[in-house]
Amino acid sequence: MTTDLNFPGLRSGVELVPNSEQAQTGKEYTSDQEVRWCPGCGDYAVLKAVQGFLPDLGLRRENIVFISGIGCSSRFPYYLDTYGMHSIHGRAPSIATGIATAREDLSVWVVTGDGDALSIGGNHLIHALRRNVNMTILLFNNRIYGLTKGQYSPTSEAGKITKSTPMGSLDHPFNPVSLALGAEGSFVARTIDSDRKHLTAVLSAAAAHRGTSFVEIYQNCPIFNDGAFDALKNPDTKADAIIPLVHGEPIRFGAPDSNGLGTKGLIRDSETGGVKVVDLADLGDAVEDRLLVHNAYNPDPTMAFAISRLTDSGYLNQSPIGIFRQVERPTYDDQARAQVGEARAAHPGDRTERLAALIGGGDTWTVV
Amino acid sequence: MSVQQGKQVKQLDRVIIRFAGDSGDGMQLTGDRFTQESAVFGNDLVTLPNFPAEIRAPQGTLPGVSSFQVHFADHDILTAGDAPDVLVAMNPAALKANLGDLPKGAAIIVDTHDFTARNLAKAGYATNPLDVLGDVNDPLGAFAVHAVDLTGMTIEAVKEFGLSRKDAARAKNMFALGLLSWMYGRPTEPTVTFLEKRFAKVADIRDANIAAFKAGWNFGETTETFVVQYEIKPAPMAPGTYRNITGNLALAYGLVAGGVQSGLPVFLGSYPITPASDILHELSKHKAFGVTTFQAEDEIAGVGAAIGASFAGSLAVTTTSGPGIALKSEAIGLAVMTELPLVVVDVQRGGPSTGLPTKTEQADLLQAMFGRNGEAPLPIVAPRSPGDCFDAALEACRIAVTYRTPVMLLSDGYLANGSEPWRIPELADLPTIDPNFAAPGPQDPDGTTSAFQPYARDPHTLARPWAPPGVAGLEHRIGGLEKADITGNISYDPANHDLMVRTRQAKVDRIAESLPPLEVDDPSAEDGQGAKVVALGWGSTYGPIGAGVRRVRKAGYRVAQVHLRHLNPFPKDLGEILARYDKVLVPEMNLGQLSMLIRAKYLVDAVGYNQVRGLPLKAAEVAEAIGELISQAEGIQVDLSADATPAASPDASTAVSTQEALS
Repeated sequence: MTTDLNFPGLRSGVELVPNSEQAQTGKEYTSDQEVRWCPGCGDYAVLKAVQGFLPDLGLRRENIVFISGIGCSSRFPYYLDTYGMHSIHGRAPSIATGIATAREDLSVWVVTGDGDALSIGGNHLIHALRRNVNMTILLFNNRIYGLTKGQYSPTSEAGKITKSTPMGSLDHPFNPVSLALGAEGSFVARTIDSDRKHLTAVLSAAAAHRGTSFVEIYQNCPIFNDGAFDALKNPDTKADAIIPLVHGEPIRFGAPDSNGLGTKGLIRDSETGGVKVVDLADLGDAVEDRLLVHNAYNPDPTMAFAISRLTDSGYLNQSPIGIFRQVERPTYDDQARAQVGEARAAHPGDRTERLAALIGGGDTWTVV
Repeated sequence: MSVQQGKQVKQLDRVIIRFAGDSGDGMQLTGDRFTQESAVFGNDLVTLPNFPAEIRAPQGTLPGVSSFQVHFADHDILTAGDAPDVLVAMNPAALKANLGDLPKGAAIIVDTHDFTARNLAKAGYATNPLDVLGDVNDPLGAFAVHAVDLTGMTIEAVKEFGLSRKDAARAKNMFALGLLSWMYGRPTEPTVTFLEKRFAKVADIRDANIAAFKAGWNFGETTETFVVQYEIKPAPMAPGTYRNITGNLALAYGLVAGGVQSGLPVFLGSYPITPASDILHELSKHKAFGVTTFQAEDEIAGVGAAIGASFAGSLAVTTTSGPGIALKSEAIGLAVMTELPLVVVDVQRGGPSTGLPTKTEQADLLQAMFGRNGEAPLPIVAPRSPGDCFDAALEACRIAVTYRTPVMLLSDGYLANGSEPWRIPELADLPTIDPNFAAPGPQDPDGTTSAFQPYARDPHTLARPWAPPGVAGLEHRIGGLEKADITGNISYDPANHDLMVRTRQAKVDRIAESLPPLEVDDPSAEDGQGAKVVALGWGSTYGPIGAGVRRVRKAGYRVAQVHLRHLNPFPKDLGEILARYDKVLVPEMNLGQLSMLIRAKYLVDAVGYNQVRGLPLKAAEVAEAIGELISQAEGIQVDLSADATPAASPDASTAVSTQEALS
């Protein structure tokens, strides 16, 4: 049996969060705690970007909550002067679900890593995405376990030699974006720690999205997995490594042609049913017809999933970067509050009197 | 069939009936209706549902037998009774599975319809025991057997509604209910009203069930098979309005009341598990009270979401059974560390592992007490009867909110599904709970506000401030890492850790200051000759221990009873009370968990009486255990069959045994 849920209407991710009356600065968002990541850690860049970006949201600082699990990145909430909880390994999405469901007036953020979100907390991640709870999940992916000093993670390439895998790891890695799309995430994106402009743009879009926004951030661990994303960062290789996804734009990259446009692009692959990279020169006049134009708003996640498969599962020489998917879907927390609101409207009156009626209901008898 | 003129009516003070049949036969519903009728009639009562974990175990087999025992009386009773006076058996398996529990002279009403060769074989009967009734080798010779074709008569009674034979036969439980309702003079209107409501949308099923119910009544009234009708007068009860209530329902109401009395929205994060799921079901109906229920993807997410909601300012609850507690342990530790209010409900069942999902046990006490890493103390509260689950739940809410701590509420399967008459409390008598949220501090003369200290403490309760997001000036971060005293910053300082470990313990210990003195039930103390033996219990064993104590006293011996609601911290006067007695008996449905705590804390040589059969303790056996200790303590022979009190002797000529008059 199903029932009409009377979905309350789609809104921006922060529509119900009160706005700040004054302009804010990044400094206000900086807590008094000493930051204790290793020198050169990619987490610094993300922290700076977030501290710089939050004032632009224009929300009251006391209505922002950061929740994390366990791992290097999960220290994040201590360094932001908002409300926050550094919780237990893998459980941040469940804690954030409780907060987001209990309070419509909060902007809820989850900071997690590849081990926290995809290994011990994999279940909570996929169910948060499925329910579409209004929160933004920042997954710092360094493809290694840092805090426990260098074991392979669920995003490490197969065959990786680590402390726990001296003959090479045997696990096939997760592709976080593919996983999020498979769980029908309504906002799925990927960005890079070192590209502050892109990072900020993606965070803005994620915060504005109502529902679970999932952002994978490639983040370099200089101690245990240095250089994991070098192909995407090195000026000599990045043009061929980064497949940029911009809604409404043809997906092309690689060394620029005379017009400054990439010489490579994505087309459908009739053999696999997916998509593939081609030299556009090989397409001749068919470029216009065959070159894919990115549509992040496509309600069907199939194409976004196909594009996500272009990420190398071994050493990273190529990966699509940008917003894969951004669609509107009812959120769990809005609907849960709507049900409570509907029930309350149907039963007005004093709670105490209604409690007396409740416990005094059923078949009763009186002894005098 | 001749009509019996003016059937004989016999007075009884109490009766124990067990309805037993296949899991699909509707025995739980039948028992529940009989219970409601008895409650409305005004008897005191206690029930014991007992059913297999399988939803539809193989039909006709012993493992598939489902039963419902109801004990009702004209006086105050404490247990569902050790042994049924009447067994209603709907098939051979139900007869065989329950026969061993019947005392000699018990009455058995069997539905002959299902005594087919196939069903007899499934139940392990080589021959039909009903074929040799009255013979010298009659295996049922010790009992008063009424073999009646209940199903056949049901089909005949509902013929006019044009149901299939199978559907018609399904109303047989209502025929049986009608017959028993006649035998014990139960009011029939509540059941007719119930059936009208339940089957409002399927007229033929509704009419068939009502017809079967009435036919069962009329059969009792007219047939010669049953010559005696029994009367059990209403029990004197304290003035008030009563209803019959199960533990899970009372517990759910207690949580709703916790929300109302604290003015907080209630948030339940839960994952379905037997026997706790009914609390989730019930709370999901009460959104109008501001109750949000979240069915999580697993046990951990259930408690995780509750912790999040608590941080956000809700009265947060998670409900589960023992295996779920095991999964939630790390998160409960987080709630201990972050000092957030949280009610954790453990409806205990038989363990370890999956154990006995539908049976009762109280073997999670030590898990509740110690089942976390590190020194992670949390308060433990346990209800003692189905109706008491309401008060215990409210008490758990009070402690959680006042002391900013997770609280373990230990119910069990017997309380969860069992029921009793419950005097509906006056709301004015319920405690109010003050959330006492943190407020920004006063501004200093220079216009700045002193920094919020999330781990400063109330000097009386040692509770830290509860500061949900949304208040400017109270921004703070908490987490699982050790906190510096007062500031709540991360701290690895050895002296600070030692201080914080002791402070968390001291906070839980401090709860004892808010507890009333223990009630010691020792009538013999009045004449200065106090008992030398005390029976100390906790949780659902209150009934059997109390009934055992009554038996011992009825036989002329002295024994005291103390029952604990608070298992952590213990009430302040417990040690002093225990020291007054030569012997301390601790009956439990585990291998001695409270005994261990008592011995460790008070150096008292507590003696356990322990049974883990998945069923409530038997009053007679508890009485024996008490008698043994009295014998040792007082150096006398104890004979519990003696009757030292002048009591109205029950009618021994009836098939209904009242030999265990005090349960």
